[in-house]
Amino acid sequence: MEPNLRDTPLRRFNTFWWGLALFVVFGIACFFLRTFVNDEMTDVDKERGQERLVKKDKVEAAQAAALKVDPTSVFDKLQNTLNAAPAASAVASPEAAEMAPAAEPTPAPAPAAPVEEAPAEAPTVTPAPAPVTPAPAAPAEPVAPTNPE
Amino acid sequence: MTVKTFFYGLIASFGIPWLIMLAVPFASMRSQEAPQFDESKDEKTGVFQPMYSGRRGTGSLIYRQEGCAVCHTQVTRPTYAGNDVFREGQGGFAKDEVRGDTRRISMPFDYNGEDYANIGESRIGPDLGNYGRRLEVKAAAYNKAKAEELGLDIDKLGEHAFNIELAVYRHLFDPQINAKKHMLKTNCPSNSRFFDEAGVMGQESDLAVAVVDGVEVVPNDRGRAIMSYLINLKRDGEVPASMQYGRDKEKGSK
Amino acid sequence: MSTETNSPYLEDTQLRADIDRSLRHPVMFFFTSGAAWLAVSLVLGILFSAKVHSPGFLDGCSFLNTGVLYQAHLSTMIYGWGAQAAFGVIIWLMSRLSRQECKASGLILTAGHVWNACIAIGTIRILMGEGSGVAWMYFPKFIWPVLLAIYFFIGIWAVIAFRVRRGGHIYISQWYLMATLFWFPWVFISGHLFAIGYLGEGHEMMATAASAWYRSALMFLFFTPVAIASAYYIAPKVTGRPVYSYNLALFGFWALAIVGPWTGFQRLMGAPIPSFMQFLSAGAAILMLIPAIAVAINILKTASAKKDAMAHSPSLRFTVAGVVGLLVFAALGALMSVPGVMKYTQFSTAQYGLEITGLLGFFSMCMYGAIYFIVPRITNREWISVGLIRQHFWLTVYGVLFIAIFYTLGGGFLHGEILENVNESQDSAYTRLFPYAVSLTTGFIFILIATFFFCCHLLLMWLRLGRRSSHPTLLVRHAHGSPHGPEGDLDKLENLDSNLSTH
Repeated sequence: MEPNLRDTPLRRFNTFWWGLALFVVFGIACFFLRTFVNDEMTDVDKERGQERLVKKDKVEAAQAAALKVDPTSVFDKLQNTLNAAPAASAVASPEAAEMAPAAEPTPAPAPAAPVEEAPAEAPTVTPAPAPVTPAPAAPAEPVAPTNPE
Repeated sequence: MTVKTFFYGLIASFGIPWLIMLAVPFASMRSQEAPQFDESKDEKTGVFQPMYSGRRGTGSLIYRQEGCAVCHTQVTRPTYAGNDVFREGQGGFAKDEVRGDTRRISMPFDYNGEDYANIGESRIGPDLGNYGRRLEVKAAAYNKAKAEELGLDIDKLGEHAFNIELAVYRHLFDPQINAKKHMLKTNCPSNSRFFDEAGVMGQESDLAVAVVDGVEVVPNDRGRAIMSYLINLKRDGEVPASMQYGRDKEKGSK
Repeated sequence: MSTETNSPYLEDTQLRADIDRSLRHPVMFFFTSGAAWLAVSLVLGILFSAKVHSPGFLDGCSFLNTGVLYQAHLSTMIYGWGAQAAFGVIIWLMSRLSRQECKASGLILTAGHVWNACIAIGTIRILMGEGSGVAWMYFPKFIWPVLLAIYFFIGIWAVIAFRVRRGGHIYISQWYLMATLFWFPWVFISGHLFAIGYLGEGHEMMATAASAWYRSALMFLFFTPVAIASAYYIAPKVTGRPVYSYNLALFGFWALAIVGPWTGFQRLMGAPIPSFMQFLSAGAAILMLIPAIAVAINILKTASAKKDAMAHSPSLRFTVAGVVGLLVFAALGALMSVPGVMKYTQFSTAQYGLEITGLLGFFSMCMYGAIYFIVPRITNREWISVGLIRQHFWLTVYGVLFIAIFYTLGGGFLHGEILENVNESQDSAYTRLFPYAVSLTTGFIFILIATFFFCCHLLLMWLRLGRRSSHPTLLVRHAHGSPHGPEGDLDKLENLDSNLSTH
């Protein structure tokens, strides 16, 4: 039998490594496809988050628009209003006078009439806490949802 | 045919279907657009986000590992492929008390939260896509009947009420006893891997499926996970109208 | 060494004997361990189908739950028996056809042992409830890369043998084997990465779809071409005639290559995957009839040229039965891919029955044919008992036909019909299923007995206890003279014609 000229160690060695390379190529193809064809996996949470952010921006814009005056400028007027105290109220003047100083330091969102419009515009903001007692209630707490009753 | 031609031919004849049928769909399904509500049909807008509860991830894995998917499917096929949607309780209920007609075909988001969609291999046992909902309906019917029988308010049944979790545990532990009691046939095997034996300490556990001679059989973590998965298999919630098979628009999205 | 005997024929015979000797251990190991796994798989299959119709059977043993039994049964059948039989045939056939001795037998044998260890560990883990649960990839995750690596160390030698073959004619079997060696890693890697490796990083429906594609691709692009390659070798070799039509053979090969990779997604008809995938796959599954018919015409025409060869030669008989099995498998698969029919058969007993028909009725029969041919050559012994071979053949045929007719067709349509009838309860579906589940158990029992005979026979051959004879063991009934056939040279008798083949 004539010698087999195709059978050389180099050819064998070559074939071995080409075979291995082929395996690796298949794996790399799968890896690339997963990662690069469509990068972002759909995240419904994120999209709902976008919707919430849009709403939040709307609410803040509405609140800002409703705030026609600078709150600090009406403090004096508010104090006078409180000191005046309506005649029908059972609260006696000395108590009203006691309450007045406590009202001063709190810079909180005063429940002045103009501000009440804002919650009505923004559907997701709870309107509940709006008109009630100002001072002792925690100023900046957004936790107002439950009725005090 | 030369070897070179052979390899080119092989790469083309395999590579093209591999790309078209497997690789590209796999990659593009990762970033499918989320379905949206339609203002005109759903009376609201926004992205539809399906909500699920229960131990979906772990439960789904255990469901697969135990081979439940061999005998149970979780898919409601469109009418070109089968009559599934007409089977009461499989794809939803025709006359759900609250939501009207909730029947629909399976959608890609029905398997959210699971790594691998347990479509299933065969229907040796029933389809489980809405198993949790069917249990709820069954429990409600049972409670109503019990309330009438005992003359109690349905909310005040207490220990007489249908205990869904215990019912599922009992079925998993020994479906045959359950079947005999209710004159039903079943070929579900006993899944004792979900339970451990423990000595009774003080009072018997609420969820003991059997108590013999001071030893009670209680579900272990695996059992709890699969039970949680099973009772939360519900696919009849609100979806955009475009996906609802026979939704009564007047009932609205309650 | 006398020089006048150095004729080309003698040199060739010597080369063939050297090739056989070099491959004795790995090939014998693959066949024997494969047959043992087949027996294990059939036992698991019987337990599974017994629990379907008698759920209380072996109750209380969590290792023998219906679901895990099914998974273990299929895993051992595919990777324990199917893959190992295929490996044995691939390396022997490629070496013989390329006229190359195997220089890496030790490595292949070691790889085979590791493969078996992996299958054993994987099967035990499945029974313990720790598999992956993904269809046809039931072993736990860590096993897969090991299996892939082992495959490389088994398959690469066949590729090298092909590459360093002497120039000249390339046999159709070589094309099929090269294609198999190329397809398998691509299918295996894609399937496992998309269905298991990327879990959580892709849509869960596509993981399921990838596993559906994988099972079809494994069947059509690994098991089918190996079985066909074996048939294209055995038929001309035993009859001494060339293949009926080489062009038809090439046509059949390319038809398989072009149509095969598209199938798989028809199993998910109606599931929420893109519909083009479902319908293209269904169409491709129907078109699979084309390569099946091409192969069947070729092999049957070649074999019928010598009708007595089919009657007498075990290898040819099993191979022809396997090719008929291919036709049946392709026809049933085509029928069950028509959407109108699929309504009934998709989730009934039909799908699993179809897989069994393909694996046992087509692939295994062709492998038996190859094994009955190869083992005497590598062990230098002849099969001991004609009776055992006959029992093996008839019991297997009987068992497969039983399953195909009753479980696949009967059960598939009648069980499916009840499932589709929405007014019928699950109770009636179970009652309807009962007899067909019993038929599956019965069919498996027949095949298990046949396999038991086969395993015993193979074990005796492995222990070199076969007949020392130059007459092959033929399925003749005490013809004139010796019951083992006429005297003569082993290879000459196989090529009953005086036209000596150069295989």
